[in-house]
Amino acid sequence: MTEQLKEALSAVVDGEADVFELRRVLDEVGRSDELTGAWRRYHLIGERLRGEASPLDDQAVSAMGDAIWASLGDEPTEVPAAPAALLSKVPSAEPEASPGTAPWKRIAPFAVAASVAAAVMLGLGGTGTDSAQPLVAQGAIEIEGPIVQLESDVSPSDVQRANAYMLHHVQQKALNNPGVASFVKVVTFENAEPSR
Amino acid sequence: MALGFRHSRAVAVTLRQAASGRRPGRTLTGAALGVLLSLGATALRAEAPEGEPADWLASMDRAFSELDYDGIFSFYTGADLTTLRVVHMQIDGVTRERLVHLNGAPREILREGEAVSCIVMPGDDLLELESSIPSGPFARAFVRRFDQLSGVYGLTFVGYDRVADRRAVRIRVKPRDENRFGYRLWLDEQTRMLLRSELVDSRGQRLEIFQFNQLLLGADVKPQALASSLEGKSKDGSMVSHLALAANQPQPVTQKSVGWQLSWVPKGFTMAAADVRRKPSTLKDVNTMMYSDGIAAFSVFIEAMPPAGAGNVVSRNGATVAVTHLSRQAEPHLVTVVGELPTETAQKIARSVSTAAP
Repeated sequence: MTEQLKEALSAVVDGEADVFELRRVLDEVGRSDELTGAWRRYHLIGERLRGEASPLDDQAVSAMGDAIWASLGDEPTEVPAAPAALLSKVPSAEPEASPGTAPWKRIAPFAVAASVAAAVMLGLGGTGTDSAQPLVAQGAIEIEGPIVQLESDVSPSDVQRANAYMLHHVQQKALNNPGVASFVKVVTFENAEPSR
Repeated sequence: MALGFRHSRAVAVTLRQAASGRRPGRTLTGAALGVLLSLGATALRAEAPEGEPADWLASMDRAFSELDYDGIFSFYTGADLTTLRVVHMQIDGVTRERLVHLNGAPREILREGEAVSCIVMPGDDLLELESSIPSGPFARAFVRRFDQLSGVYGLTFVGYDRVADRRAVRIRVKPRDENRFGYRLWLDEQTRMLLRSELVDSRGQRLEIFQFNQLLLGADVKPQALASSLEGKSKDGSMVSHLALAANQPQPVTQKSVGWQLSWVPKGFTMAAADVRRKPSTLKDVNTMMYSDGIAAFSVFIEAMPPAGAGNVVSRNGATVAVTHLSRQAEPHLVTVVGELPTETAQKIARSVSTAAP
């Protein structure tokens, strides 16, 4: 149960769980006597959310972070930086409509609050930039293209061999796994030649 | 501007709630959402999918093989966006499957029971590649045991969504170390069929996306859809090549004891198969080993150094990477590791290959 909760909270931190999932987790927490301390902290977050007229305001979010961390008696110096870092790193995919429309405003307020809440829960709030990265990645689909690195003197036969083994591998894997998802790789396989 | 945004967001939330059918729809402001979050709102019990995420993954595997389905899906590997049609049926206890490449070179994979054939046009790269390596018979050694994944992956439900006009349960599969990739899965709430998956690296970047755009299930699937559209073309002159994937292949030289070992594999990976195959092109033996952690897999190929030598290759296609390592232990050997792995992990595995102790 605790493990399940941890996974769910981790998903919230990474921006991969929606508000309903968070609420479900909170219900779970509520049923666990051992986690009453966590319950109390969430309660505080709930109050802060209700109390703030504009949760979108980053000062408010920072203030909320301060309050939460103060209540936890943890190092307050690192805290304000956490939500600010999360927010400012989200890339803007479209031109800003007005100076007041910061890119991070496209994040739903409750998502921000949820991230802060879960970060506090897991003690991940101020530990560094890693926790901000998943949010950054949400902004755009960044998919790597095929990379063929020619580290030393690589001949076409080297590449041909690598590709043949790649196909062999995806075929073997496909035949070991039921369903279409694995065969897709066989049928979509392209014999990518490096440009040379 | 911001207000408008907030309003539309609230409406979207309301629609999702209405779709769940368990709460009355009502317009929610950001502040009201705060109330939702508060623990006092116990009247709004959160819904949760039944069972554990691992059960859902096991059901997903069964759904793939047991259900009848006919769907169009897209697959994005970074190299390309391809669109395919899949038809899958159980007829008289025999699995029939047809996979049709809807873009680019015409390719179809037809499966009838254990027999799998790939129909490609002459000159297709796939055909050239296939003839350059031996394949099959295939090891079916790794059984997917989703209940044993928890040591290397964390599984969790992360909410609901809609894919291909169907309500989907979202599951996150997050690796516990940096030696494998993670997955975000969308499973059909009703049948647990996989509707969408994203394969993500440790930075959250999506390396592969699979998604059904349209899906027919059960009685809506017609047997006629299993007939190949390429078969007929051979009659009007254009040659069609059949590529047997599981039949008429050279037998492995030995089934076990390949004479090589890996001194390091990432946690949770166990050997699923090992044998020695003879390359048709060079008649040289290739030692092959396949490892799996229950979701990801990698293969190791070891052969004597080609007379012309070999270079260090790092080639990535979506989540699949191929790396080579020139082993100078005893005889010079060429080691190639291929798998759904981070590049550094594949390289570390390749460097760990050594001759097995007698």
